[in-house]
Amino acid sequence: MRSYLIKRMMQAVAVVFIITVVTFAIVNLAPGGPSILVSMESTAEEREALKAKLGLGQPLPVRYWKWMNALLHGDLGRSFSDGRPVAEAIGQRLPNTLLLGGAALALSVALALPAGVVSATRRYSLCDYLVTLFSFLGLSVPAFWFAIVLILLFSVRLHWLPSSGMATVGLGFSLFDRVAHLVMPAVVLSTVTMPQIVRFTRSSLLEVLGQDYVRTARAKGVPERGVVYRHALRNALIPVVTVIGLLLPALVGGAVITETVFGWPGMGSLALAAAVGRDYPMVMGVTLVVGTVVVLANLGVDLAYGLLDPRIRYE
Amino acid sequence: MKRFGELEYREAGPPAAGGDIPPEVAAALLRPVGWRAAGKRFFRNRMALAGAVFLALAYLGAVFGPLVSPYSPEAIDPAEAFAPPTLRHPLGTDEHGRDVATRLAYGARASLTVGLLSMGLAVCLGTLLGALSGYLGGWADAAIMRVVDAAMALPAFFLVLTFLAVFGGGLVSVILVIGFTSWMGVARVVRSEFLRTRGREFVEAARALGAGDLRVAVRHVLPQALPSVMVSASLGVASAILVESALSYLGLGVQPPTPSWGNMLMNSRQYMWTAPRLAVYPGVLILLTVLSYNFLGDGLRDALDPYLRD
Repeated sequence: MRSYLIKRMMQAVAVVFIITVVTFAIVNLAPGGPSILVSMESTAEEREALKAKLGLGQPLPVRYWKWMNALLHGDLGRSFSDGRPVAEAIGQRLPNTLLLGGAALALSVALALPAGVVSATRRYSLCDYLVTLFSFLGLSVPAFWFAIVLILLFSVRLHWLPSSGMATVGLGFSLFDRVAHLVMPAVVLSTVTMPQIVRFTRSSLLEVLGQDYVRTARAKGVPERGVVYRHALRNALIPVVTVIGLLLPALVGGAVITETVFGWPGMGSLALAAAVGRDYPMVMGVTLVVGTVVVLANLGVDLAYGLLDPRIRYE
Repeated sequence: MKRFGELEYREAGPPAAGGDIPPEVAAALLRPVGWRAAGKRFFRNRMALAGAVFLALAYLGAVFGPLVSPYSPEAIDPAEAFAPPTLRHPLGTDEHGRDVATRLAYGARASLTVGLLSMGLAVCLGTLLGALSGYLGGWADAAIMRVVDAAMALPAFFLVLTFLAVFGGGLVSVILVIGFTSWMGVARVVRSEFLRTRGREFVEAARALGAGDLRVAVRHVLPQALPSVMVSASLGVASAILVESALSYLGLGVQPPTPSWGNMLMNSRQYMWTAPRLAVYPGVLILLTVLSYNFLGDGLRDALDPYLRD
């Protein structure tokens, strides 16, 4: 168990390292440098001076080393565009994305598990077909278009829900207000994960229901409800946990779109703005933090897997 | 319609040989791919068939629409701006008086091209790596699979955003970034097919007849992996089209004035209140195309996989 843990953690560190190298390579090999250098109306000397000030004149490995060194001292640098510390900007945005992502994931699981169970236990029934149809629709709908349709319906037509932001301007924080702002973005983001969780729950439960110990449970007279929920579902959920871990990168990817459409001030919209503005330190910081969160969550899922399923022995 | 549950069997490989496989299933597993029977099964699946028909229409529209249309997708005609659907403009015009039907047809070219070519790239990469991994085994397998794991854990969309923002969007960059970030599924599928097939009798027979590694891998083992790759690829095209539309919507994909369904949607956002139909057409087309590819992939999976047959 301990050696497995160490191995997995080293893998996680390696993935984070790859993320930093790839991001660093992409932003630094770009032609033209940061947009602040390209777009500014300045003389060549001024640009050179700024370049020197931002440390862009040094060779790549040196810059990577410096960045890494600062990073290990807890310093993510300052934004090129507004000079704010990157860590501060991320500190403001990260909780918002965790709230949105957490809400979307909770919503997906809460709806997908019952749907998967119904469609597995009543295979080929009308319910099963409807669940299947809606999963396919969820899998196929462009998130931003779904978002626009929701805004048109619930904000423009019905005036039920606010169309953007996290809070009503001028109003103090209230839970109701926050939830009202959260509903549509969370629903849109959950289309990324929900269909996959439904299909895995269904297939996994079907597989388990065909096993010998389920037949044994039925034979000794356990009511069907008990068979499904107490005996089968517990085991069927184990692979579903893994799938949720695998879906996390897609979830944060979906957050970029969702946050942009709904003006949700999170990591996704920050990443987009930083990428478009070629704000290198911000891009590096955001990608690193998001990557680390995803990798850590995956690590957690892997370990949870072992707790849920005692048959799994870590080498 | 069909059941979409049992699919994971195929990716995980069949259950270990032994008493728990019914003889008729075991026989089906040992048969080479039966293309004719698979075709019959595919044509019985109504949703997959509907998907195939819609896709055929979409491709016909993409190929012939621009040839038939009297309009240019980029020609601006302010006098005709926001014209409602009429005989001259069957789907109306946009804010610059451009014919929407014509732009949708050109947009189909962009979106469908991205879908096919990026998935082509992903299939090549994935097949190559998966085949190497499954055929060589040992440390090469372990190394390649670790790379696959790492690539799957990356928040790829963030890297893609950065790449496109920095190097500029456009058809070619979008195809490259989607291709390079979506090969992992294919690699896994091909690897497991190779593991399944490599010890089988006909492979040993080929080897006994003097076939070299490359010949065995390409001529004897790879064709067995083809059905799984087809399934994986058609599901992959679906997600590639979605990603393209999202990137174009964010302004990082196919660049205006060249139309793609995604950037037409981005454009329509400003006129959401006045002309919502501009947002409806491309959105519905993306939805139907992606849905069709998903149904198609699922239908293929059922048709090609004898183990999953009822």
